[in-house]
Amino acid sequence: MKRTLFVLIVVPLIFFATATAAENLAVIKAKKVVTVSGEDVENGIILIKGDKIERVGQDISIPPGYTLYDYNDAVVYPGMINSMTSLGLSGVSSISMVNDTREEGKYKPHISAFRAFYPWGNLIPITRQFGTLIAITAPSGGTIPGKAALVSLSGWTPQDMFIKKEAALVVRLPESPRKKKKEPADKAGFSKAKKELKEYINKAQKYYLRATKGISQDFNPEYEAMKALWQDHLPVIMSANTARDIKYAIKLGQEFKLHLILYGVYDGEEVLKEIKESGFPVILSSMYSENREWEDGCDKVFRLPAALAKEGITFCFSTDRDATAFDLPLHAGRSAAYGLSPREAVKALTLNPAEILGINEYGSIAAGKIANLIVTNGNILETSTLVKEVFINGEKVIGKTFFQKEYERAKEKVSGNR
Amino acid sequence: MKRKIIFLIIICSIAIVSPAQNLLLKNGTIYTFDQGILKGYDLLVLNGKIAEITQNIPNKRKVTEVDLAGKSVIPGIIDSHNHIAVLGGVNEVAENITPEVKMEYQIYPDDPNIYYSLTGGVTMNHAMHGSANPIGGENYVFKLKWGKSAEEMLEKRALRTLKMALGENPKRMSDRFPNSRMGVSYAIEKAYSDALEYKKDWETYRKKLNQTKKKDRFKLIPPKKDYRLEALLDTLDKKMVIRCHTYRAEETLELIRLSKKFGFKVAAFEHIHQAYRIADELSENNIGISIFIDSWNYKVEASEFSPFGLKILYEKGVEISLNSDSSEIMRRLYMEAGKMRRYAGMNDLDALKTITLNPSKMLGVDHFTGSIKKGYDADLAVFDGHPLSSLSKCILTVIEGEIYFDRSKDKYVGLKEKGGKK
Repeated sequence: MKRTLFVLIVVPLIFFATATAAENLAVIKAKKVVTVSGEDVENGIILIKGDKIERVGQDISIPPGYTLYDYNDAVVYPGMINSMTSLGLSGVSSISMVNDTREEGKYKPHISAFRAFYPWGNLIPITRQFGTLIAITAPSGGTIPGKAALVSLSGWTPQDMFIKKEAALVVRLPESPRKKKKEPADKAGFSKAKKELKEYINKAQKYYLRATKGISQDFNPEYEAMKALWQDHLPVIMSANTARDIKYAIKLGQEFKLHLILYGVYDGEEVLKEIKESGFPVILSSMYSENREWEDGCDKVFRLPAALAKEGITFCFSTDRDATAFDLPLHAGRSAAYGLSPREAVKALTLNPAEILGINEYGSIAAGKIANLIVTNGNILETSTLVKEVFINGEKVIGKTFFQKEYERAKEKVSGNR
Repeated sequence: MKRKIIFLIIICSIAIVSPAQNLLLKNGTIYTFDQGILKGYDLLVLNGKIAEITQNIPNKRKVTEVDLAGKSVIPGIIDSHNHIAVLGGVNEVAENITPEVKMEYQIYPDDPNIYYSLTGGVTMNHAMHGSANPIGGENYVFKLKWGKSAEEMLEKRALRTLKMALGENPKRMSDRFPNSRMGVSYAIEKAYSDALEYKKDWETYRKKLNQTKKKDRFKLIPPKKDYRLEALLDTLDKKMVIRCHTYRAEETLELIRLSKKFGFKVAAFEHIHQAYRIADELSENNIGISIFIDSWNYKVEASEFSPFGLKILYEKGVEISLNSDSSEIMRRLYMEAGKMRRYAGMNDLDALKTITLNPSKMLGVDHFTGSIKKGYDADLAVFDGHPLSSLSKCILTVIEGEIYFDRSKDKYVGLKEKGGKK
């Protein structure tokens, strides 16, 4: 009797529950699907089940129960990933009251972006609406500014948005002048600063090793925060720009067995072999920058991505800052004008950063991947292109951006918000 | 004797018209505003001027020939607001009204930024006074003739323009009046009232002078000469136009009120992030805007903005030109213009106008540059693809028929013969 009751009551309940928490089932049709990991699919169809891509291809019959999104004149790409921003931290950057990017001190591994991440500003929806769906947001200032968070640019509270609360330790390697500009006094200063950093990492590593062996020692909150480097293989995003600094960063990475990601590498073309051999990937800083010296040539910054690609070094693009982070794809587009193949350029906006940041479930359109997709009216690398729709975790993102709301408000001359 | 003079004249004219100012561009896509986009056309430059735009021009004079298959030619880009080629500071901050200072006093022809600007296809620049003062100094217009003297770069045919500035920048000079937008507006109103008083004083003096017998005229004391107020009177006499830095809509309307009250002409508002809120007013008063897009939120007055607002402005016929105000953005103004297609819904030619024809009108140089037209100065930029595409780059920049940037001949372009190169 009891069993019958159970069957009669509980089983339908379970069934009902699964039916109402109905899994998200969607199908996207598009003129072209740029899968990144495979060939482009003309007149492509993407099936989405839950938050994942179920299938992608050309001749897929659409099963019943799937919501159809038909974008017959659009191109679909995987959502882009910006590997260095200050989104959610810097507010209106010139106003210190709302700018939380910088903490006191030189070595701050215990400071972490996730603690102050503010999701309700105007910039995150705008960045998302222009096709960047995931971003690193990082603190700045000092030799070790702190830890960066990896956020999905959709969600209500910060907790909804973190993919990794602590995604990497950010290190700004004290920069040495280039060889030809040897200034003895400065040189000593720079090498001293470098030595200091090395000693810091060394001490932190010793602290970690002693802890693993159970040797008692005084509690050190900074070194505690550094433990993750070896315990969890937390990536270290280390900025290094001159050839000497890049080599030094690589040496540090190898000596302390760090999960190193090089950042910037302005003079990278002089040490391509060293970077390649180290196996460390590269996050490029903004392509909206200038050459530092006359002899660098006016195209120094823009020819670097092609040189990295040619050498087979894994790299990705980033913008730094926050308000202009939405312009990410044009950084890749500009590199494509200087020899980087458009295909590689798109890869360095999507699949490469996913790989570099260790989130392999993102970055391409393939069965089993998370359905982070953007629907555009053309080539994402072009200045004329706009993103029409955005899907995050399989669901279409709704809500207007500040840009759209301002446009509508001014067009209709409506005083106040609506 | 006569023969000698004729001979001299001929020698001189040969020297003046150097062969470097002749050029034949073959078989390119030429962006004109009066004939549209011409594919597979040639462009002949003689003596620094555009002589002919048609198909299959024979190279009779054996001038330098450039093959442009697959490439496009646009008018040289005009950066309508920047601060390059200026030696020392751009702000005369000690006082708040300084129209007597001229930026051309400190033109710096060796600034490498002149060359870097050329690499993005820019041929003309409007070097502006800073924004610390409600009324700043007189700007200057120059062509980017890298390697030439300041004298040769200076473009005397352009309108004289005076900088004004509203909002945060003039008011943040905390040890000086003004400290509020109320004060900024008043400072300008007061300056013009003073200028009118000054004008009256001189008129009264001159009138008295005429009424006084010659022998007694020495007894009359003339008013003290004031270059500051005379510069303002130049703007009332339409000898000089205003270029006004502003971000917010209400302060812009306030300046329009002042311009009507006193009768100075505002040629364009600079930056003006909130222009889309007053598109009708700008359109009615026939005032253009000179802006940068996608650069915002770096200060409070720049945090209310929408690039899609450009659509409203464009549809209402407000003249839009783009500027860089930056030694970085100046190298990619073509990309910024390309974005006008997605934000304002412009076609290629209208988007291109925002960096060529429109700024040329605002600077009063549209009768000789800013368009590709027969008889105009041969100020041109050649791109290796579509000129508004991020996937293209400028490969050749020509000013008055002379090549000032040639990517293929720049010895620092491309991988260096060391280090990374295999």
